[in-house]
Amino acid sequence: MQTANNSLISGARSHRVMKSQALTSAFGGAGFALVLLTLWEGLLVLPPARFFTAPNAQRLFYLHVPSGIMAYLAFMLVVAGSAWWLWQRDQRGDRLARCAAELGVVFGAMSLASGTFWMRAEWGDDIVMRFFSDMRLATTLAMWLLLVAYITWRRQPDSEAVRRGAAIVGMLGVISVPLSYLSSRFLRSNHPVIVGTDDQEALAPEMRLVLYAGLMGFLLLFIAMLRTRLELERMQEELLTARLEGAA
Amino acid sequence: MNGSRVAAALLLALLLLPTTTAEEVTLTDGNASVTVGYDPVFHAGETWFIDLEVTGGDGYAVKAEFANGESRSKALPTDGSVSFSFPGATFHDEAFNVPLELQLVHDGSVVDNMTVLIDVSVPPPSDLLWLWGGMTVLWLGIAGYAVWLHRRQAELRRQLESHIAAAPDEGQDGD
Repeated sequence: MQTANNSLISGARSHRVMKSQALTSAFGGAGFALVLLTLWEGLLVLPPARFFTAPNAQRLFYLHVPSGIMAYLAFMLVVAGSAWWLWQRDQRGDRLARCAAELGVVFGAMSLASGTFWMRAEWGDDIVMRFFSDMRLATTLAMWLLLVAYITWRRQPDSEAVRRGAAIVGMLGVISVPLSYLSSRFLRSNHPVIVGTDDQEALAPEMRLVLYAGLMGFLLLFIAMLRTRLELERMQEELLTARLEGAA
Repeated sequence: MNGSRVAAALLLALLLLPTTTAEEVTLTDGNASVTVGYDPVFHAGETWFIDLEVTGGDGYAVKAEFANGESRSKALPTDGSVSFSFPGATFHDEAFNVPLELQLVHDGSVVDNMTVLIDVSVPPPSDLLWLWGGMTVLWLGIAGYAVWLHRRQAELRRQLESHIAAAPDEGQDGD
């Protein structure tokens, strides 16, 4: 009887998992297609941007900006998950924060790396000093290092104290994300600012369209990766529970 | 030797061949003779030289003029070598078979002339390297993480399935 119940539950669960995986694949496939479209348009169709020393390297813009925004989004999810855990002690909040932090490290690294290549072509070779003197670069690097710190902290054996510490580090995103985002507007920075400024109109409509396609593509990829990462966490917990039950 | 090997050998030979070889033409008038040496490929952004080997050139000059009106001229010595050049900014775009008229001038009148054809090559801009570097890092980042997720998922699924497969036996043993 117990075996029959188990197989019923297992069948329902596997159906749910399959549906969830199909949805994740749909997000991932659509995101990948949109990013390919962005690449096609950004690299091969659109003309080089004017007023740039390195008009070809400027084409990194179509992926650099979306990856940076995904890093911000990831950190905001870390904040939300951490707050949820601190307030309710709900494991789902902790799980969300842990998975989002990992994605934040990946997308943040991509944004920093692509930005560094673009910066090297546009501004010259004093890259290290730029990270100290330009506030957008400095604050974004600091934000990314916070995420690295979060991940490193979570490498310890899991416990209530570790989760609490991680949630407190995660909550620092409340300061870090707006500071990084607004730094190029209000602090010393040569980083281009487009959204929400007078320069917004200077972005040609076709360039804006390709940027939006890149943003949407990265968002869908982000969602697909986050869902997969959350599923991994669930599977890991399920396996751990099964092993503990087996041992008992 | 099969077809692919022949193709590979040809490709290698093409790669190893020097990209350009200097070409020469000669302008003459009586005892005066000027051998004009030039690179048939004009690399935009780089100074382009024309070399002259002169015999009996006293009182003569050589004038070179592109179809776009850009021209240079050089008074010749009696004997010896001289050269003159066009700036790299003469051309900006790729072009093939651009006519260059070479004239041997004496006392203000053209005594011999010849038209040669050159190609204009525009080297790839240096910032393309940074574009592709940035793109490579970006895609390696996404692809690396996606592959890691996929492998981890497959591994966990395998472990879970093997655990589930073993579970009914354990349940029956328990009963």
